[in-house]
Amino acid sequence: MRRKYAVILLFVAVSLFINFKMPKQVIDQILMVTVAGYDYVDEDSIRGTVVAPTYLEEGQLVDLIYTDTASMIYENRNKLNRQASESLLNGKLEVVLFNRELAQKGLSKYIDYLIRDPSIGTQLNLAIVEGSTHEMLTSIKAKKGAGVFLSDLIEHNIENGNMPIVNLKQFSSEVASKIIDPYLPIIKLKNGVPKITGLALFNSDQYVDKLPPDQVMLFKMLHETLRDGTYFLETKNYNAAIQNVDSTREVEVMKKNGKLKVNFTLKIDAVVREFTGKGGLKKKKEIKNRFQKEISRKSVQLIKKLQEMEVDPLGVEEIVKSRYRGYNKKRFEETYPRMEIDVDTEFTLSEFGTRR
Amino acid sequence: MIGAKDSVSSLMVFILITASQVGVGVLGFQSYIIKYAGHDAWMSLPIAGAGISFIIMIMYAMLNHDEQGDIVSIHSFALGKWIGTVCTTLFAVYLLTMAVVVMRTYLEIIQVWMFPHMSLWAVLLFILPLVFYIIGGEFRIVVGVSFFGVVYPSLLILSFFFPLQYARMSNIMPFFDHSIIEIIQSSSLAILNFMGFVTLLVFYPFIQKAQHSQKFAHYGNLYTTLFYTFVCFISFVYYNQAELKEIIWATLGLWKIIELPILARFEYFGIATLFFSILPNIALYTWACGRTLSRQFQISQRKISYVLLAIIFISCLFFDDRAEIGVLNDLTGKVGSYFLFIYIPILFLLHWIRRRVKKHAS
Amino acid sequence: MKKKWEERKKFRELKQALEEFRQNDDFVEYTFEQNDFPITMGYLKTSINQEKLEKFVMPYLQQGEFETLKEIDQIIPITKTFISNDVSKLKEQLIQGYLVLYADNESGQFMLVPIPLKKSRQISIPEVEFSVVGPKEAFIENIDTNLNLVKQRLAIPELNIQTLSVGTVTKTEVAVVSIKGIADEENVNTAVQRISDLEIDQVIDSSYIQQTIADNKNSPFPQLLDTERPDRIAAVLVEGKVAIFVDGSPHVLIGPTTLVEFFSAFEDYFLNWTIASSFRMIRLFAVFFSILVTPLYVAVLTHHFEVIPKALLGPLISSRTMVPFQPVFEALLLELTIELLREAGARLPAKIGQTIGIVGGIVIGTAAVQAGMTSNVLLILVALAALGSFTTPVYQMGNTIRLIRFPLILVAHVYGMFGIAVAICYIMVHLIKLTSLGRPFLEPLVPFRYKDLKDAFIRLPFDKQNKRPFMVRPSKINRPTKKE
Repeated sequence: MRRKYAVILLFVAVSLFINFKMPKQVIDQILMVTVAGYDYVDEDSIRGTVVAPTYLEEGQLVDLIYTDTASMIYENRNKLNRQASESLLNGKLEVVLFNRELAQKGLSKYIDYLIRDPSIGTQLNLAIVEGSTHEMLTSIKAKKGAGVFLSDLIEHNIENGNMPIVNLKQFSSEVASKIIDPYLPIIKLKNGVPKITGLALFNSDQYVDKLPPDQVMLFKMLHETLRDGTYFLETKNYNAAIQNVDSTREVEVMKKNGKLKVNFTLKIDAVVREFTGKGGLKKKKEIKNRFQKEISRKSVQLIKKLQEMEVDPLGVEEIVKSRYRGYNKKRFEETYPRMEIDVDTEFTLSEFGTRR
Repeated sequence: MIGAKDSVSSLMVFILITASQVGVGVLGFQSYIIKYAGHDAWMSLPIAGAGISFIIMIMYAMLNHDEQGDIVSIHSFALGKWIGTVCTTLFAVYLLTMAVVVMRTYLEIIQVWMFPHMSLWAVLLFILPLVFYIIGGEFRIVVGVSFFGVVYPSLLILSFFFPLQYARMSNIMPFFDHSIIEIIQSSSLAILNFMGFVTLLVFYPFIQKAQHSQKFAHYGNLYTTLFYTFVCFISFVYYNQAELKEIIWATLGLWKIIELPILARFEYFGIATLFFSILPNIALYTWACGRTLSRQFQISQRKISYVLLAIIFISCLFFDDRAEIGVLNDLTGKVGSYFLFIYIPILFLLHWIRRRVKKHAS
Repeated sequence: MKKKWEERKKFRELKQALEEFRQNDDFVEYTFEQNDFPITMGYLKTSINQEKLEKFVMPYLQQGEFETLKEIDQIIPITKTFISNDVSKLKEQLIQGYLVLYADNESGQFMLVPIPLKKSRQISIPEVEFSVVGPKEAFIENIDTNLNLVKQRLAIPELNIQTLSVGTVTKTEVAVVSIKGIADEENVNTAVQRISDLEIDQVIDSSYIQQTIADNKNSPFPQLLDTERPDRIAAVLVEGKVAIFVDGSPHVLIGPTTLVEFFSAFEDYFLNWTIASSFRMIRLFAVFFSILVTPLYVAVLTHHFEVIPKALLGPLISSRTMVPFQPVFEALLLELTIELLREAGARLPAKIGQTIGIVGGIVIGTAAVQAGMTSNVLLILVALAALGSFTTPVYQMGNTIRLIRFPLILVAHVYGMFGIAVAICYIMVHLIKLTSLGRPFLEPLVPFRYKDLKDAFIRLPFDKQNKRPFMVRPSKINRPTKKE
C-alpha cells in the first residue's frame, strides 16, 4: 500500500523535475506586445512596429517601441527581439494596424499569423492607418499606453454607434467566407492625435475605398442592430439632434420579373434631445417624415455606392444565399452591381425631451 | 463473481455512457462532419444518436441473454474458443488504441496551446500514475471519476452562450440544402465521437439490475446527442463553412471569444479543466481493456494494468506529429464504425442462433 | 488439608504483592487491631478519594461489628465491591483507586472497595465549535460526565453503549455509542471490531483512535469527525451514526462521515435554513478559494499571462516590479510565513499569541512588501486564503486544507493551470477512494444519491429532512412522525 504511494509520488516528482526548466513566461520578465503596426515598404518587405509597455511602480507605464523591416511578420519579430531586453510575446495583443498601401495589396497573408497563433485572442481590434503606422505609434502619448488607448478608441466608437462591430473574428471570418466583404475602421493622425476618419471597405482582403464618418452610422444601421446612436437632422427652418437611436434591420429577398430584388426595412426608435427652431412638439410629425425620407434616401445612395464599387459589406449575397435556393455565385456577382435594392424606414419618435 | 461492493447502481449507466461519449472528439468534430452535408451537418448528429441507440438496443438484447453478460463470454459462446479469443484480443487492442488516441490528442492540445517546450514523457509520468490510481482499485472509482467527468462539462454548456453574440443564422440557412443521403453520410462521420459506449460490453456485469438499466443507457445517449447537437449548432452559426474547413479545434475557438471580468481568455481555463472529462475517458478505456484481457487470459487485472500503461506510455511517445495522430484518429474511427454497424449485428445474429441451437439440444 | 495449603499459598502471594506496594511512598496501610476480627486496609494515597474513605469506609470498620469479609461487604454502603483471591487483580485495581481489605487469618481472601479519586474540571462552554445560538455545553475529559451529557438529551432505553478497554498500558475506557434500531449494526460492529483489534499501548486522546482506526491511515484527510458538542452527538446519533467516546478526551468521534459534513458547522441547524444554507455555501466557497487562489496566482503569473484582463495587468505587474523571485518562491515564502505565524500563535500562551499575530500580520506583511520581497497583491491573496481555511468548522480539516496548497503551488509552477487540474484530479480520486468506517467518504456525490443532497451543500428545512441519510444505512430510513 505505502509502496504504491511512494512509486506514484516518485513518478510525479520525476515529472516535475524534468519539466522544471521548461521556459516560463513570468509576467514581469516578458514584454507583452499590445499594438503592432505594419507598413508597406516594397513588394517583398514590410516594416513592423510593435509597442510593448513596461510597467513602473504606482500604475505608471512607459511604452517601448521597436521597429524593423522584414519580409514576414515572424522574421520581423525575430529582428525585433534582438533589440528588446525581454522576449516579445503576442498574448496581450490588443490592436493591429496596417497601413493603407499594405491593405491595398491584400491582408490575408498578414492576418494568418493572428488566427494561427493560439495565444492571440479573437476579440483583437484591427484598423487601417492612413499614413505610416510607425509614425502613429511613436506619436501616441496616452497615459494608459498605446495599446489600451487604441483599443478603447475603437471599442467605445463601436458601442456608441459610430462604428459597426469589428474585430479579428469578424474580419477573418468575412475574408474566409468569400461571400461577404469585410470592413475596418480607418485611423489617421491629425495634429499629432489619432482620429477615426471613416470605414475602409474591402473587396475580399483588398482595400478598395473608404466611407466618410457621416455615412458610417447609416452603414451600421443597415448592417446590424444599432443601440444608442445619434443623428443630426438639419433643415432650413430647424435643426434637431436625434439621440438614443435604436434600430433593427430586416431584409427580404423577392423575385420580380425573374430578377432578384432585395428590400431592407429599418425599424428605428429614437428621442429628440436638442431642437433649434420654432414649433417644438408640433413639428413632431414633420420631423418624423423628414427623418424617414432622409434615412431612406441616404441609405439607397450608400448602397448604390457600394454596388458601384462591387463590394458587399452588408452581406446581400449572404442573405440571398441563405434565403433563395436557386443561388448561384457567378450569376449573383454579375447581377449585383445592377440589383435593385430598396430601403424602407419605420420611425418611432418616442419622446421629445422635457419641453413642448 | 463480482461482489456487491464493486457493483454500481443502474443509474450509473447514464453516467458511464455519457462520460465515455464526451471526450476529445467534442473539441473538433465540427470540421470533419461537414464533409458531405456542409451546413446541414448539424442535423446528422441526431441521426447518429438514433443509430447509436439502435446499437445499444442490440447490445442489451445480447448481454441480457448471456450467462456472464460481457464481451468475453459472448465471443466464446458465439464464435467458439479460438476465434472468440482472437476477436476478444482485437477488441481489447481497439480499446487500448482509443485510450492512446484520447491521451495523445489532449496532450497535443496542451502542447499547442500552453507548453510547446514540454517534455512529453515527463508529462505522461504525471498523468499515467493517476490513471493507474483509478484503475488499480474497484470499478466504483472509475464510475466516481466519470461522474465528475459528466457534471463538470455540463456546467461548461453555459460558456457556449457567449459566442452567440457573433452568431449568423444565415450560416446554416437554408435548411435541407443537402439531400438526406448526404446528411446520413455525414452522420456516419459523426458517430465516431460516440464510440466510447462500446465499453458497455465490458462493464455490463458490474451494474445492479443490469437487465433493467437499458433506459438509462438510452438517456445517457440522448443527453450526449443533445450536447453534441447543441455544440455543433453553436459552432455552425458562429463559423462559416469556409472557416470550419480550416479550423482544427472549433470548440476551443468558440471559447476564444469569451472575455470575463477576471478571466480574459476562457480557453486556457477551458483546456486545463477539460482534463476532468478526458481522464474518465482514458481510465474507462484502459480499465475496460484490462478487464477484457484479464477475463480472457485469467491474469490479474492489476498486472495487466502495468503492461497497458507501459504500452500507452510508449505509443504516446511514438506518435509525435499532428498528421500521425490524425491518421490514427481516422483509423480508429473507420474500424469503430465497421465494428458497430457490421460486426455487432452479425455477432448478435450468431449469438441468437447459437442460443436457439443450444435450447433445442437441451 | 490441600485446601489449607492452597490458602496459605494465596496468602503468601498477597503478602508479597503488598510488600511490593510498600516500596511506594504513597501506599498507606492501617490495621484495626482492637476489633474482634482484626482487619488491615491498604490503599494508594494519591489514587483514592479521601472524603469517601472517611465517610463511607472508616466509621464502619472502626465499629467492628463483623466477623468475615462478607459481612463487611454488606455493611459498607458502597457498590461494586468484591471479594477475591486473585492477586493479579489486586495489583490492577489498587492503582485504579481501590481499597484493599484483608484479614490476617491466612485465608488468602481479600476485599476490594472502589473509592477512586476522579477529579475533573467543570463543564464549560465549547471553545472550538462555539456558536452564538444553541446549547453552551462542551464535553470534558471525564467519560462518565460526557456520556451523561448525551444521556440527558437522549433518555431512551435504545441508547446502546459498548465499553471497551484499549491500550496495553493505559487501559483507557472507550465507549461506542449508537441507538439500537436506528444505527446500522454493521457500522457499530465495524467500529467495535476495529477498536478491539487495536495493537497500541496507549490511548491518551480520541485523536489516537481517530488515526488508528482510520480506513486509510496514510490519507491527510481525517476520516472521522470530532466534536466537543454533546448536542451534536445527540443529533448525529438520531441520524443513525456511531459515536466513539474516549476517556480523558473532550472530543468525541463520529462515524461514518462524509467530506461535506466537515464543512457544516452545527450552528447551521440553529439558523433558518435559507441563512444556514448560504453560510454553508460561503464556507465551501472559502475552502475552494483557499486551496486554489495561491496556486492559480502562481500558474497565471508564471505561464498564462494571456488570461489576465487588461485592466488588471498594470497593477499586477507593477506590484511585482521590485520582487526578485519567481512567483512560486514568492508564494511559498508568504505561505510559509503565514504557517509560521499560526504555529507560533498556537504554541504561545493566548495573550502573547495575539501579539504575535498582530506583529506578524501587520509589521512583517508591510515590511515584506516595502522591502520588495513579495508583491502586495499576493499578500492580500495569501491572507484571504488563510482566512478562508480558518472558516472550516473542524480544526483537523482546516489543517489538511492549508497543507494541501503546497504541492499544488509546486505543480502550478511547472504545469500551470493544466497541472492544477491534474493535481485536483489526484485529490478527487483519492477522496473517491476514501471511506469512513467502510462507507464512501464523498457521498452524496460519489456514489450519487440525490436524496442525501438535502443536507450536504445546502441544508433544507426540517420538514424536508424527514429521511435519515442513506449514507449510514440506517435501519429505519424514515424519521418518526406523529402520524405513525
